[in-house]
Amino acid sequence: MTGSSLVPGLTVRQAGAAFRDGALDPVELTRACLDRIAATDGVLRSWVVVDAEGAISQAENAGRELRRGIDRGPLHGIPAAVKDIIDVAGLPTRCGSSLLSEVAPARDDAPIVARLRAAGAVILGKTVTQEFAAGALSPPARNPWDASRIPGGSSGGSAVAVAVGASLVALGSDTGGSIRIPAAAVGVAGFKPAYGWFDLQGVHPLAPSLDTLGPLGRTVDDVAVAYAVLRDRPLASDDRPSLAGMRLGVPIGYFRDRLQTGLDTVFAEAVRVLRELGATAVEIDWEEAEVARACAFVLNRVETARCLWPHVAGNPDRLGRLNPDLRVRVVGGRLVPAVLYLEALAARERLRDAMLAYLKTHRLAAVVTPTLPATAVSAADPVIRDGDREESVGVGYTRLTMPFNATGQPVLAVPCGFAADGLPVGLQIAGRPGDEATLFAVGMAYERAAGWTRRLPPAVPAEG
Amino acid sequence: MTAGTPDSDQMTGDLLKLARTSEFDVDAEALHRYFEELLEAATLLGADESTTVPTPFHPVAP
Repeated sequence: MTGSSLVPGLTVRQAGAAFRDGALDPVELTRACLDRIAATDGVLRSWVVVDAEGAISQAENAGRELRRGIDRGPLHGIPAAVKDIIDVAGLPTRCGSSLLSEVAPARDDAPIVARLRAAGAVILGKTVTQEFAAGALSPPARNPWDASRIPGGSSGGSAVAVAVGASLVALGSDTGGSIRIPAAAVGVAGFKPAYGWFDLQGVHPLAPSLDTLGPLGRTVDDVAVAYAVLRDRPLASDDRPSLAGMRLGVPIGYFRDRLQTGLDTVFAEAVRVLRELGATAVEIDWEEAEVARACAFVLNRVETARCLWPHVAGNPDRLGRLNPDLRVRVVGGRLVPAVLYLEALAARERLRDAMLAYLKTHRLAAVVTPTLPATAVSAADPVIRDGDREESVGVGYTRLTMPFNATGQPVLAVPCGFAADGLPVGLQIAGRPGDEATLFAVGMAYERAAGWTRRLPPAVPAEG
Repeated sequence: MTAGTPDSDQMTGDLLKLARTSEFDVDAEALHRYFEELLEAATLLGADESTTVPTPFHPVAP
């Protein structure tokens, strides 16, 4: 294995095996990722800081340790990217905002980054986020399948980085869908863990009662490995798991209405593959999905206003430097009646219980739905259009993801094909907190049977 | 109460008036859309009769 032909396409387990049998060195892999950044980022603009010197130094150290028999596990020597709302010691956390353009470098790693580092991962740098992780466009980052399109957001930079092999794993955050949306839009895997699994210290908050950190990777197995390491859990086998006898809920109605023409066919084909793998896919509506989205929406709007207010308080000029959408959210969110916020809090408790009851009543291991109602939209005109129908990206892209932020369930996003426009389509698998293994088993079995992750975006993206 | 009904229009209007009294100047049309979307969410939350609001004033057992 040599040079930049290593990536994209190399998985975390393949790289780890090659390190250990001497076929590959962490420095060689890190240089290959840095080459991919150099080759793609002029067009895709998914990185805000690349610490090339620091990364090479970390990779040299990782290689030295392995040669001395010090093995920190499956992420030892593996290149990793970090969304720019998460502190990395020595690098600024600018959160995609001009309000923080002069911020000093972080003194310490956020706990989740410290965990990555302790596991021997090589931190390459920080990836683009939509301003303060609030939104689904992630400017100026672009989609590697079509550089005139958005990558989704807000963890858009992290999704692009793993899609093009500029990193093998990446950290993102998900408050209303911000890991799953870009995963679907650029055709990679992403995992939103159950709420509360990771320490949020050193992470800029957006809506603290919903904020969740999680990994993105090109394959489900890459994500599963990263998650196991981050949570200090045993690594699952990468044997193809059996889905025989497993019941999967496939909600109709809310999750299937208003999909871009053709997407329902792509999703139905994915469900057919799951059935072929032995799963029993049961079409059962989740009647409270729309209420769950409303619940997460209210919590999100109020908490966003509270979290961003300190950046602009008493200073209209600073408010004017936020993007127009955030300006409205900061001012409007402070006027939301308190009773509505309390109603949303109460509804969340009930929805969490109701979802667990739904899974139990129908004897479901997980629920499978489309992730997005549309493929990646144009960066120049970011509106969802299908025939006569128009919908804002902010509303449309979170319609199917946000209900699961209200329930706080773990959700795995997996690529499930391509639409007629040639852009990736994704599905999401939602399960029970504590039973993440089932989600990874379903995702891995599907991914291998369907084979979509073998298709890679163009090596050098064309200008959009 | 649904967006576009007299009640919701009244509430949106009240919130917009409040917003105008703030020191910050934001786009009125965008703010109007923001409150409409919020009220749609409020309607969905309130429309579910099984929603129970926990009271912080549970009687203390003697």
